[in-house]
This record gives sequence, structure tokens and C-alpha cells, in this order.
Amino acid sequence: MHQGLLFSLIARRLLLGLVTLLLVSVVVFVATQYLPGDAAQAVLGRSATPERLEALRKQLNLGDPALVQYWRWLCGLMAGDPGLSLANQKPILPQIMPRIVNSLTLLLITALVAVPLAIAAGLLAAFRKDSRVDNAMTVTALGLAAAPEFVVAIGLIALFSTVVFHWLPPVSMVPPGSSLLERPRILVLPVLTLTILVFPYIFRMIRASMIEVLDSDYIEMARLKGLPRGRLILVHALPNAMGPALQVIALTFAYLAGGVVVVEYVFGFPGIGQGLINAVSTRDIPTIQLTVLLLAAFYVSVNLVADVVTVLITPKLRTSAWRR
Amino acid sequence: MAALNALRARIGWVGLVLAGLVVAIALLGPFMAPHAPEAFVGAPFQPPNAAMPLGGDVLGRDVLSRVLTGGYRTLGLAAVATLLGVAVGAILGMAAGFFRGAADETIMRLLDVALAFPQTIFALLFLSILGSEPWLTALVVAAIHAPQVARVARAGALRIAAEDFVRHAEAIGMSPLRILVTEILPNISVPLLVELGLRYTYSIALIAGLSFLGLGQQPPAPDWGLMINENRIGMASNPWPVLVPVTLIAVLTIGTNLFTDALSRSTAAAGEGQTTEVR
Amino acid sequence: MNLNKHLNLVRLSRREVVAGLALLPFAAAARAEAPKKGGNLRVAILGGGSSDTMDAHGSISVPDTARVLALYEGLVQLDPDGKVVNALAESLEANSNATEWTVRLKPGLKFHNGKTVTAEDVAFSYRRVANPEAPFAGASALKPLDLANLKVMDERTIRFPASAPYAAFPDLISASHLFSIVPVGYDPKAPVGTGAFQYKEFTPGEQGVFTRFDGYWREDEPNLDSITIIGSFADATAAFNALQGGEIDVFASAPLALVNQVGEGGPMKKLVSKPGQWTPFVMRVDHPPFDNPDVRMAFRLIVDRQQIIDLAFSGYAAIGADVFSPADSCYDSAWKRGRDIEQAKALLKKAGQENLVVELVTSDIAAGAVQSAQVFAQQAKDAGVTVNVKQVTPDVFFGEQYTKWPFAQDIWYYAPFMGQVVQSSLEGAPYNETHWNDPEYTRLYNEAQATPDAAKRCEIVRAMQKIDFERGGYIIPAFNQGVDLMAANVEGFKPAATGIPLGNFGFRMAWMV
Repeated sequence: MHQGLLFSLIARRLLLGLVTLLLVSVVVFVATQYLPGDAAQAVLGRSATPERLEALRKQLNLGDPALVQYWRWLCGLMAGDPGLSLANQKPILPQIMPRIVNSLTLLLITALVAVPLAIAAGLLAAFRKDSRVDNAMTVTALGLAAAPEFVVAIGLIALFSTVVFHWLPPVSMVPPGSSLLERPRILVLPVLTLTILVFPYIFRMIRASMIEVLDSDYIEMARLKGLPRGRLILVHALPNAMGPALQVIALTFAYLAGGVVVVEYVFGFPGIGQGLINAVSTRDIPTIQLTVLLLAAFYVSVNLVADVVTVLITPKLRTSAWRR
Repeated sequence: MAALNALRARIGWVGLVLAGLVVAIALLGPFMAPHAPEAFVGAPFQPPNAAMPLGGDVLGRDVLSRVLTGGYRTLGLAAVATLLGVAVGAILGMAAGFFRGAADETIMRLLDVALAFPQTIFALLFLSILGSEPWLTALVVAAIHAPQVARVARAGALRIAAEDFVRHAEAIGMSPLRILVTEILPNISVPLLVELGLRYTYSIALIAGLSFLGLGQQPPAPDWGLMINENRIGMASNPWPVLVPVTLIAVLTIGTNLFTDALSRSTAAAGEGQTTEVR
Repeated sequence: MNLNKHLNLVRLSRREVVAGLALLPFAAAARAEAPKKGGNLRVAILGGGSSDTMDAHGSISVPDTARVLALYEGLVQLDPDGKVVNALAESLEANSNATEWTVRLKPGLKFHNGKTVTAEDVAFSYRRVANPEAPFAGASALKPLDLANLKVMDERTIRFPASAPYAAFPDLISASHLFSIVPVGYDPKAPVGTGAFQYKEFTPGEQGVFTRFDGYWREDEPNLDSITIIGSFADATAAFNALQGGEIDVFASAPLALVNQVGEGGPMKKLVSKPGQWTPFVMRVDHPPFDNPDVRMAFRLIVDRQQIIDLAFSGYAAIGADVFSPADSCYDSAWKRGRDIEQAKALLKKAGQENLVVELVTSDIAAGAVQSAQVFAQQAKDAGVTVNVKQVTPDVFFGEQYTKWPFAQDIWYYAPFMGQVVQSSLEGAPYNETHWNDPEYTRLYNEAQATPDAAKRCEIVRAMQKIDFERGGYIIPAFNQGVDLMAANVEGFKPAATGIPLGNFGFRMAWMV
């Protein structure tokens, strides 16, 4: 019974997700048609005399009607070939792959740092509910949640790179030929910024969820039964508290699809957000479309996972918890 | 318990005072600026001195004057965008929650799709393509707020519409519009106000962020977000044109957030009353 | 930071060595430091991206130009003072009425693949530039030539017939990065040239590596083993940071805000170019209110040129007097213009344009460009003129409206006077942004092209400059100096007047201590 419902839910959400992605690609394509200037102009820049523009436009098939261009792109995408970049007529995918890897690395490291930190802090605050520590942490989280990404980023740069201390580089430059992981210092500030962005929401959710669980009759009963505190928390309380928190964790990371663009801009981080900014400035429509589509797909799929996880965990745990 | 409420209230007051300070600076600043914000007073990135207490910016203009005149446009635009977004969202949500049926389904499906778009990316994309006119910015930001507000309004409207006094009003033949305005709206006004406050914070952050990326006010306009970006390159020579606007934006957003959070807690009917949505 | 310490140590020990040598009789000669051979120079250049190219004739951005100047050469080139000198050519001779040029190549020139450079290669290269199907940027300067009738006289001699008198031919091909000589059958994917460095590897938007060419015709050059041109820096702060950290050796064309943070005698030093590049305010002489020469003169008189230099260019510029090509041998240094608000107001009143409101379009196309527009707008207020500065992104700026804006900025590298005129000041010129079409000016230009004698041509050129000075469409407040930042152990780059960074990208002369 549960399985059937679950499948239909996943199927419906998947369908909605695919429709959304299709809509995204159409909207982006239409929007890019309004970009002033075209790729030929962007490539040639100042050297764009009428003859050279003609020649390049022909080469790039920019004269075809919009619908034809979109259809060609869509069919190519279905076949797994997102096409050639208009800026240098080379395949797009190998060019943005390193960027995707870099951004994912950034998000992964942020997750590894922020999530345990936020969970630990949330648990601490829940146990010491309404104490000084709890209040301090809650207020700090509120404050951090409010500050915009670029403010946090610039603040960190001022603190650790430029004005107060000079410990860390203010920009994240990866010299060609080396990879991100060879130069961990450039990751510190971007990860710290993203962590600060993500931390407050997860912290508050864990705290609230844990408080609710600790207050529940079930835990009360287990305590009265004399279960040792450690076991109580780890085996009975924590799993129940995690349920609702997982959704927030997933949603927060979905939100990062947008936040990462700003952070990459501030730090010059060679990720996909920066790739999008570059593609817009060079009017490289196929690259813009693929990049936005990937970001949207990330956002949509993380949301999907969050919803599914919520459904999976919450009723099951709740029912099983009450029945224990 | 009472002590706790008092503490929470105190934090709320602190937030209000902080935010109020920044708003005062933004609104009264233009009358107190010693120089015109676009006048050249000294050398680029000159350290603080007698003529320029906060030093010079990238073109040698007085940082203090630019800071004082650089806030009210952002605050004003954010206010307009938030009001617009909340208004549109409230209307849509109330309609969905009250009329239910087909209207509800259509509106909610549309909102689902709207919420499925990564909003900040679209704001960036549209504004960089279509240009950064203030009215366009207000529209884009309002469009980002509307779906979430609609959800809140709908939940509230659904709840209220089930109440007896509303059923009574329907029974005596009151027009739906009148019911919406006189019965439903006042009863969801509190959560809407909370949304207004929260969303205002987000509007400021978003609009300042867009200015920072070059998609908001254009040079030579004094604008806090723009100042932060155009003076970044000289942070080692004179950090103030970056640090002062950064601090002002941070204090404003944090203060507003503290205040609205305290407000939402104290008005919540039961439980902890915190919002779980992530922007 | 370790590398910086190392650099300091190296500097000290060199000083000690030189101090020791001073005791010896041939100290003076030893002091003229001999270039040290070897090493890989890592150069950061901004402005590149995914549209980077290695094509010998297709350079568009500054990094493109750097690559082309490293790998290829032309018949002539500009020396550091902006004078036209022979490069691959041994001689260029015109016939009596300048309708035919005979060019003779130097002997023993080799391409990177070992092939000797012949007149056939020259013919192929010029035809490639001017190819009507896919013309390159240099094509407009070759229009007067009758390339269909190019005549290869022998291995090293080629004759260029011209359909109209073309006395200034060497001037017009002096922008050598647009007229590179490549072998017959050249393929941009396997670049082959005659330059001091040859192609090793290249990824657009990332970096290119170029190694020394041992068969280079200038026998004591190059000094370096290789150069790496890095184009992946997101912005100036990233490149500056890398230079500070010792990850690169040179940051070409650094923004002045960063340059001002570099002190004397530290681990970094500056190379300040001669004034060459210019970012004028351009008035369309066929568009009101600028169709009235009084208005144009009024605008020129509004400018406080020194203030623009101080505020927008941090002092790194020389005053301009609205006439271009100051390094040209025919330039009359008597051209001077100062600020005269009263006269400006009077002229505006006479033209019926008091309290004029105009829009000035600018973009971040060069260091200080936007700032100079903003300073000018401020200055204009003194004459009752309201200038609304409209800043657009570079891609919009160079988009469809480029050369059509009524009042806008632009950026030019240095070109000899006749070369500049061909680009910007004739009807039908590719960048005739002032929409200049003055019959007297054009008559003088044609006369100059028909005058092979250099001295006589100078007189005609000066007459043209007088027209520019009195009623042209350009406001040129300054000629800018570019500043490159480099590690203290990098030597050999000479300040050039071409406006192209790193001494006209003179990598062949550079060495590292």
C-alpha cells in the first residue's frame, strides 16, 4: 500500500520536474533572444565590421529562425550532445565539465563541514534549551541567516585576507594545470561563506525538532523506564529528530544553486556560476542554456529528494515510534 | 517562561533599534552629507583625513557623503517590491483558499512551477538580459516573493473560511469580495505582516546583491551595494568605502530579522511558530 | 611568500656581486647587465576567454595580440618610440608616384618549421588578410592595393601594385600583429610563424605555452626558454594576488588602483609605458548638437585635462590636445589646448545651446575610461552643460550601436597618423565614429598618399592636423600610460609608445635574473 503511494508520488514529482526543466529551457531561450547583440558581435567585439559579422554569423548559423535553433538544440540535447560553444566553436561539455566538478566539490565540502557542525550545534542548543548558550546560539543563527551572501563573503575577505589578517588569499585562482584539491587554501573562504549561509537554517530546524522529540511522551516514557541517556539520545531521539531536518538540509542546498553564483563571483572561483556569468557576457546561448538547465536540474532534483525523503521518513518513523 | 518571553522581546527590541538606526541613516543621510556624492574631493582611495573622515573612494569622492546618500533608494525599492509581492501573493492565496475548487488547483499548480524555478538565478538572468531599470527590478523581486506569500495566505484563508462567522456571511448573501476584504483579510493580517517583515529583509539583501553584481543602480550613483563592488579593488589602501556599507547592510538585515522573528514568536498561537521555509 | 623572500635574497646577492665588480677596472662594462638566458616567464593577461584565438591575423583581445606578437612578425613594426622600422623586410621602396611598392625580404629568415621565408609566403599572407570572403581586421588598410596583381619578382622580392597612390603603405602596415607573415598553406590549428617563440600548447580561456625558437633571425634573442601566457584569471585582484604570491612573474596592464599599492624597491616593480593609448570622447559631427563646430570647440574647452589625468589615470598620462598620433614623426608639438570656461560658454551661447543636456556613453573598455567620463561630466557643469554618463557593458558598447553613438568614448592603440586616418577619419573607414566627411581633409589625405617624399608629406599631414585641431570630432584629454606589474627579477621589457602592454609585448627581449 505504502509502496504504491510512494511510487505514484515519485512519478508525479518526476513528471513535474521534467516539465519544469522543459519550461526552463524555453524561458531561457526566449529570454536570450532579447539579449542586445549576438554571439558574433560578442566574439568580434570591437573588430566587428559588417563584413566580418556577416562571415561569422553564417558560420555560427545565427541567421536561422529562433524556433529552428531551439529545436536543433533540444534534439541535440536529447541525443546527449549539447552542441558547440558560440564563442570558440568547440564542444561545450568538455569546457564546462571542470567547472561543474569544481562547484560540486565546493558544495560537497560545504556539506561535510556545515551539516555536522549545524547538527552538533542544534543538539547542544536543544539540550541546553533556554540557557545562555542556547540563547546566544539562537540569536547568532538569526543574525547569520539575515546577512546577504555577498556581505558575508566581503566581511570574511576583509577579516582574513585584506584588512585585519592576511592569512588567506582573497580570490580563488586555480592556475591551469593544477586542480582545486592541490591548493586547499583557496577553498577556505568560499566554503566558510557557504557554511555560514547554510548553518542557521539547519541549526534551527535540528534544535526545534530535537526539542519537540525530547518533550514527547515517548521519550518521557523511555526515560522513566531507565534507559541510559546515551542510548536514549542516539538510538531513540536522534533518528526522530532528523526526519524533518533532512528536508530543510536538502532545501537549503537547493537554495545554494543560486547562492553559489554570487559566491563564485566574489571569489573568482572557477565554477559553474562563473561559467554562467561569462556565457551571458559572450552571448554564448547554447552554453547559457545548458548551464541554467543544469542549475535548474540540480535545484529541482534536490527538492524532489527532499520531498520524497520527508514522506518516507516521517510517517514511517512516527508510526513506528509511537508503536514501540 | 515569562522571563523567556521578556528576553525574546528584548532581542526583538534590540533588532528594531538596530534596524531603525540604519533606516534613519539612510533617510536622513542625504540632508547631512558634507559634500555632493558625486563631487571629487581628494585622491582615489585616500586614507581618512580632515576633508574626508572616511577617506576617498575609487574616484576620490567623499566616502562619508556617498554612504549617507547611498541607502534610501535601495530601501525604498525594497519596500515597493515587498509590498507588491505580498499584495499579489495575498490576493492569489486568499482567492485560492476561499474559492477552492478549480481556482485553487490552477493557482497552486502555477505556484508550484514558479517555486520550482531557482529564483535567484532567474532574477540574475532576467536583469542581466533586460537591463536593470528600477521598475523591472521591483517586478522581478515581487515575483520571487509572491508564491511563498500566496501559500501562507492560502493556508490562513482555508482555515478562516471554515469558521462559522464566514459561513454565516456567505449564507446571508454577502458578496465574496466583501467577505474576503472584511472577514478573511483582517484575520490573516498577522501572519501576512510577519511575512512582510521577513520578506523586506530578503528584498534588501537581494536588491543590494543585484547592485553589487552590477545589475542594480549604475555608476556614478551612490548605492551601498554598488559601492561595495566598485571599491573592492582598493580595500588594502582604504577599506572604509567597502566596510561601512557592508556593516550597514548587515546591521539592517540582522536587526530586521531579529525583530520579525521576535514578533512571529510572540504572535504564534501554539508551538514555536517558526517558519521552516528556506527563502 | 617564500618566493618573495627568495627574490629578495637574489636581489641582494646580485647587488653584492655588482658592488664587488665595481672595484675592477671593467666595472662600467660589467654594470651593463648582460641578459641571462633561460627560464619560463609566466604572464597573466586579462581580457581573454573562451573566444581566444591563435590565428596569426585574427587577434581581437589583448591576450590574442600577446600571442600573435610572440609567434609572428610582419614586414615592418613600431619601435618603442612609435616609429616605423623594418622587421622582416630589408627594404620597402615606392615608385615615383607611389602606385607601386617593391618589398625585399631579409635573407635567411626561417619559419618555425624550418622552411625559408619567401616572397610567395608574403603574397599568401596578404591575400589571406584581405580575403573578401572572410576579411580580417587588417583588410581595410589593404584596400588601395591591387592584391590580385601581386607580383613575385624573385625568392625575396615582391611587388605590390596599388590602384590608388599609396605613399603611406609602411605606416599602414605598422600594426604588425595584424599583418603577420605566415607560410603558404597556413593552418591556425598548427600555428607557424617567424617569431622568437613557437607554439607548444594552447587552451582558450586557460593558458598557452610557447618555447624559444632557436632559428630566430635576431641572433641574440630570445633569452627566455619559454613563456606561459595565462588567461584564466577572473579579475585583476586574482592576478595581483598571484603575482604577490609568486605564482606568476608578470601581470600585464594592471589597473591603477592596484598599481598604486606597489611601492618602490619591493618584490614587485612597475613598467610604465610611454603615452600611447588614448580613450577619447567622440562627437558625431553629423548629429546635433555636435554638427555645429562651435559646440565641438566649446566641449573641448570645457575639459580640465590635468584633472582628468590626476583623478581618472592617477597621473599616468600625458596631456593631449585633441590631435591624435603624438609620436608620429610629423606631429606638430605646437598643438596646445587648455581650459577656457568663459569662451566655452560664449560659444555655446552663440550656438544657441545654453544649458545643453547630452548623454555620454561609456564602458569599462580601458583603465580609467569610465572614470574620465565621470570627471568630464563634473567639469561640464561649470559651463552649464549637463552630461549624463551612461555606462554599458563592453559587449553592448561594441555592439550594434558602436560608432553610431552621438557622444561616446572609445579606445585606440597608437597608430601613425596616416594609419589612424585610414581607420577613423575618412568616409567609409571601418571605425569612422565621428562620421567625419570633410572634403578638404579628404583632398589633403589623397594628396599625402600621392607624395612619396617624406618631408613634403609631413607638411600636408600638418595641414590635416590643423583641421583636426580646429574642428575635428575628437576630444582627446590625454594619452594614457599603461602600467605592467612584474616581479623584481624580470628585466628587458622596454616602455613603448604603442599602447600595447609589456613594451609592445617584447617577449624576445625579456630575461629573468
